Amino acid sequence: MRDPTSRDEMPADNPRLIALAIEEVVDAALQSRAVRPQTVRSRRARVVTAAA
Amino acid sequence: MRQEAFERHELLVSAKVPGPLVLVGHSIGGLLVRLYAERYPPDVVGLVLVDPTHESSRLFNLRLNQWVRLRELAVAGPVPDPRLEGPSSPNDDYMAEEFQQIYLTRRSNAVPLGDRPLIVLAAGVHPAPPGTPDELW
Repeated sequence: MRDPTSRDEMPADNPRLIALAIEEVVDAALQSRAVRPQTVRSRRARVVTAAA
Repeated sequence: MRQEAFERHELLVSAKVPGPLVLVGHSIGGLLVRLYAERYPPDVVGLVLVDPTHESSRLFNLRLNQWVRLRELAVAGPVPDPRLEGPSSPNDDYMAEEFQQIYLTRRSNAVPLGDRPLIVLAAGVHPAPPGTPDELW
């Protein structure tokens, strides 16, 4: 059984989880009126990260 | 922090990286991207916060050499406008004042992040850093 407090359970250590979250947010933004679909789909995804 | 948000915006403008942007902030970067979204709201269409620091969090303060609750360090000093030029100095450390400002803004405005998608990824248990007592963490 894995230690729930072990460092490898931190979200920051799970790039796939972060990528899924980004995809979810992009999809939600596309469904809102704030973003025109062609604006995002015509460009590579641009992500600004701000790490500790 | 406001200075960092300002410089990040200047960098994106200089690099000709237009919006819309989805910002991802890890740890104290969570505060940074929240500040960015507040300052440049039209550019930001979504946020992902990864184990974000809250303005009431405890962080290790190098100057005091101890763990402190950030916003309680504030002395109600004014936070200067970001500077485009000029050398920085240790006196430019306004972090506590800024966190206090963020805290007060959030308390008076229940929806400061605006109408944009947000996902927060957080660990269920944050182990204390090495050498830090659990009760203090």
